[in-house]
Amino acid sequence: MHSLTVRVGPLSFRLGSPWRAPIDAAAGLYAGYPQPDDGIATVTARIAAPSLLRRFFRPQVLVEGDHRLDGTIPMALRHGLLALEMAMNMQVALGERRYLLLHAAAVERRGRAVILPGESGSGKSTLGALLGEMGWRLLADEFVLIDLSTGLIQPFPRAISLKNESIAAMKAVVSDVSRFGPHLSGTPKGELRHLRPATDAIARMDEPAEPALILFPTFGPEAAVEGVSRSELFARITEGSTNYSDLGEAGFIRLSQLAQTVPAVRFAYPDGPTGVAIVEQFCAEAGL
Amino acid sequence: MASDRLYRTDYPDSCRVAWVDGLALIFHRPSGTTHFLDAPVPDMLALLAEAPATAGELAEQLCARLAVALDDEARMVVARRLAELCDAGLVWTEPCTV
Repeated sequence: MHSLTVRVGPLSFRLGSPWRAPIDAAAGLYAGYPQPDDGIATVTARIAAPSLLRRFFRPQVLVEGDHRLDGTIPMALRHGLLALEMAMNMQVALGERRYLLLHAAAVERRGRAVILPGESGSGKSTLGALLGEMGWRLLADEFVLIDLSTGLIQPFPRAISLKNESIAAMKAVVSDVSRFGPHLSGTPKGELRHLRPATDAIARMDEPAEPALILFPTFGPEAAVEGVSRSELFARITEGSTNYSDLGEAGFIRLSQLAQTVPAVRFAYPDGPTGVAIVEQFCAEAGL
Repeated sequence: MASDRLYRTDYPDSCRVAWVDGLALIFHRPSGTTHFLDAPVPDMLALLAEAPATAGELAEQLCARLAVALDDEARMVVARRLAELCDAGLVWTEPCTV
């Protein structure tokens, strides 16, 4: 079994694979990330062959770890890095109880954070990645961690999952090619490439930030803006949280406070530069 | 008959309440579930918290509280909302012994 340990914010992972290549790819992607403080990883995420035959012949990988979902479909070994990333996501989604998880990206400037919630394909990853190259610090790509006791965002700057058109968009603004993982073609999510966040995001992964603005992005043919009521905000954030129902009253207190105090807006954007400009405009109006 | 039953609630002692946009967000500790309640349901719960009541009594109290006429439509609304609250576990019934 090949393995790798890495700490991302408050979570430390032990990644495991019977094949070397996915671990080597993950090691490249997470180069520069710290090790667990005490050397002991808290979460195990691994991939495995669905059968002995599929370990060697037309090899396939299954996503596994401390927590598992039955009925997951095996993937081709050439998508092993994606499978490892999915294994990490699954462990966070199913196992994390210390933080309220929001399905969102987030960026920070001067201690105040913009949360970008959204379903897959909404463009939150692209927008978060772009902002992370333009003076903002990336706090999170897939999971925003809200500290249950303080309400602050604890950074979780995992590798960013870029899909389809966003790959070229980020190659245009990130000159350091070593930050990109391998190009994965024909995955269940389409064309896919991971991006290591900027050095600042990794170096400051233990500095929390205050939620200041929630912006729901969607790709659209024309730029558009619409208010989000506080009740809709609560409902949408709840729907997008994988662990809200497991946290009980503590999760309710934190989420209702977020809905009561943080302004939220929905907007559509046709391209990255327009999206960044809209975010900057909102931030200027909110005093960020 | 439902009208012979007393409705009770553990609101607000077993609940955590937050208000957003005039709606009551209620976390119910015994069930661990979250509820979004629009008017007049929070008022119904508040009245039942003061004292258990039959559906008829509650309709009467609610109309007085909201200063609206007590009619068949009001009674129907109260009966439907009570049924929903029972399904949600925020209210339960017991035979009236008074």
